[in-house]
Parts: sequence; C-alpha cells; structure tokens
Amino acid sequence: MLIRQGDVLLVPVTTIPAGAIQVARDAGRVILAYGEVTGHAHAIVHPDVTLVSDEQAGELRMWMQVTAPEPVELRHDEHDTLLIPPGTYRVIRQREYQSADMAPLQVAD
Amino acid sequence: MPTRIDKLTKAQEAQFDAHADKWIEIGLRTGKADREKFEASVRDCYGFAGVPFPDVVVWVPSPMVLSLAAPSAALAIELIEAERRGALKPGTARAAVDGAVGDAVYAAVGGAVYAAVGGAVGGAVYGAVSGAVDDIIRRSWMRRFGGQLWSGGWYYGGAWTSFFREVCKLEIPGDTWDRARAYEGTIESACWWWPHRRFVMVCERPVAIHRELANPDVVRGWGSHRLHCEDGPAVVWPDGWGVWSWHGVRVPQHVIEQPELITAQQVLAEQNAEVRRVMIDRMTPERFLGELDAEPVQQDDYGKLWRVELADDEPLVMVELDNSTVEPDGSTKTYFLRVNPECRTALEAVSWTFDQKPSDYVLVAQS
Repeated sequence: MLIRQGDVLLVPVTTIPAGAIQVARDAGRVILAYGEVTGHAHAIVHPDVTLVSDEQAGELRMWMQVTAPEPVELRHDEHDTLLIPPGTYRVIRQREYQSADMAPLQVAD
Repeated sequence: MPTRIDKLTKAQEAQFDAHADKWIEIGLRTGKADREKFEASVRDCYGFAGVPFPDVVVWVPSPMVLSLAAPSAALAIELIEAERRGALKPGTARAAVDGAVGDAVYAAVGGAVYAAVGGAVGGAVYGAVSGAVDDIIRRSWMRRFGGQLWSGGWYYGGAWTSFFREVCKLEIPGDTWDRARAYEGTIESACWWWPHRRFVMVCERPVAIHRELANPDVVRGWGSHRLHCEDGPAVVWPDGWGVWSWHGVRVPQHVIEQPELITAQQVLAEQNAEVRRVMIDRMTPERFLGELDAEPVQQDDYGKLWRVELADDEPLVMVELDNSTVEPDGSTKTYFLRVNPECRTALEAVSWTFDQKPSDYVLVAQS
C-alpha cells in the first residue's frame, strides 16, 4: 500500500538499517526531495517526523519515520497535500532509464 | 509599549496581510534603484558592524555581473595588497585580474568564441590563474545580501522584524531597531549587494518581473505565484541578463522565445524532467512524437507506453504520464519518462521507475 507524490514514493517498511544517519531539517522542514528548476520541495513541517539516510554502493537510500500520533501533512507547491499515517517508510525517488550499460538516473525536476 | 510579546492580539493579527503586501511590493519593485537611500543605509550597516565604510559603491546592472565581478575584485585587491607587502611576486596580481576578466568574458560570450580567442592569446597566463579565480568566484559569489529579493526572508527579513516594531510597537533596548532600519533600508532601495572592506558592489533592480497567480485560493504566501512569461524573460535586469520561466520552471531562453527551434533530440538530451516536459509542451507532443517516429505500444490506467526503434541502438521506450494533481486552470501536466525497453505495459513502466514489481505497485494515495 504505497503513497506517491510526484516523483517521490513512500513504501511502508518495518525496519531501518542500523547505521542510517539522520538528515538535518532545512529551515525547520523535513525535505524528501528538492526541485532544481522550480525551487519547490516535497516537505513536512510536523516536528514528529525523522528522515534518515545511508549510502550503499554509491546509492543514497532514505527512510522516514512518522512518530506523531496522527497523520502528518506532506506538502508540495505543485501537488495536492497528502496525509501520511504514522509508521516507517522507505522514501524512493523516481528514476529513468539511460542505457543498457549505464545505471538508471534519478528523475530531476 | 511592550518590551516582550508572548501572544499577538487579534488587532495585530489583522495587520498580517497589509504588512505582508507592503513588503511584497518592496520585493517586486522594478525600475531604478534608490541609490541615495541604499548608500546611506549601507553606510549605517557598516557603522553598526564596526567596519569603516569604504566610500566606494559600485553599481552593476545585474546579479550575474555582481556574482562575477565582486569576487574577482576582492581577489584582485588581495593580490595587489600582497604584492605591495612584498608577499607576492610582482605581476601575479595583473595575471590574476586578466583571468578574472577572462572569466567574465567567457560567461558573456560563450565557450566557442572564448576558446578560440583565449587559445590564441592568453592560454599560458589564463591556465596559470584561472583555476584560482574560478574557485574564488565559485566559493564567494553567494556571500551577497539579497536586497529586495530578501524582503521576506526568515527571522532576519525586513517584513518579519518590522512587524514587531511597527505593528506590535515592541520596544527593544539599545540600538537594535536602528540596526534593523539600516538593513531594511538596503532591502527597500536596491537588489543584491556584496559587501567588502574596500568596496560595496550593488545591483540595480530588475527592469521587469512577470508572475502569474499559481493558485487562486492562495493570493499570498508560499506557492501563491510563480514566474511566467510567454514571450521573453520572466525577470530581466538592465543589461539584459535574466531568467526565463514557463509556469515556474526555469528554462533556456529559446524554449520561451523560439519554441519552433526545439527538436526532439534536444528534448531527449535534457536531463531535467520538468524542463523536458516544458520543452515538449512548447514544441507540442505531436511534433515531439512525430520527429521521433514514435509508435504507441499500450495504454492503461497508469499511462501510455511509446516505443521508438533506433538504428544501431536499443529501442527508446517512454511512458507518458499525467500528473495526478490538476492545475488550477483545469489542465494536466504531462511527462515522458524513459524506461527499461523490456517494459511491455504502462503499469510495468511506472512501477519500474520506482523500482517496484507491478504487482506491488498499489497506491492508496497519490497527488
């Protein structure tokens, strides 16, 4: 049961790998992804949300924990606000194919 | 007069919109900068900071010129002073300044012309110093103040601080409000500025700013407006430097002004999905797909799959997706994403873009 906002997908999971490091907030907001040419971001302002990341084989992986007792708002200027229920999620960025001999490229917007 | 505020009154809250609008107007000012006011305000800022005012205020026509010229000038001053102290070999400063000028020309004229001229004339000198100059510019251009473009800001923004002073009549001991007024004066009078102990470089206001209301339900605040101009730069400064934007997406000039020149190959070479979407929008999806000779393969609730057979290469397979959020004007943004050519359906393609199995790609919410 997945949640998608634009190029960001939230996949419920049960655990986060040990060693994942907390990602700092930006101006008080948890940012799941930034937009390069629009300045917009997929962001949560609720205080009871934590974003962590680790790097495996050069790939940056992210997880989000919502510890608030109620669903929190995931906002973006160009998408409708979504309510994210409490829980743990893998945060997956959309990707694009490049070629058979190159790794997929993260979608930039 | 309160000396501490823990809660705003209803009357103060009722002033939010009027106060915001006042500072929005300041942020969007175009035309000539108020040079007299800026120079007086910035002089006060130096005074409050305890730094002697340099008495040299250099006005430049755009943020691009400021970003190149201010760090270059700072570097040149450092080198010249070092030469005078005997800490640097004579001639080094001149070579570095040549490099700085070269960089500015490079930015203005473009790689091909510069490479031709630079290769013939200044290769050796440029090669010796350009790395340093490049580095200085890259590391220090952002040490500017935003002027009118920081009228909102966060806790340091003019709109924020002046609300407590002007609306709430908050009293703060000492000269804090005088300091705030000096800084606010720089916001009210000019655009970007770059302070240095030997000079202040400051940028004129834009000549024009074109915006559109992004959401009729939100007339001010985050996401209320976006830069948009259909036939020229959305923001432009007196020297012609500017930003081209299509409904809030920053794009190259020709995408706005000469969409007939956009080719499908240019679209495929563009790595940013939003820019690519705008390019297709501007050239029309029909021409984009027609130039590629793309064949529709399959369509389902998730999107439409297109396939392009390429000579001597693997096929190009793209999925056409509609944004789940409908635009305020009722339209829908359409994206084309390249996917693994083994995908046979739009569902397979979309789930591949998120590294999911099609059977797992079950959404409970999307926007």
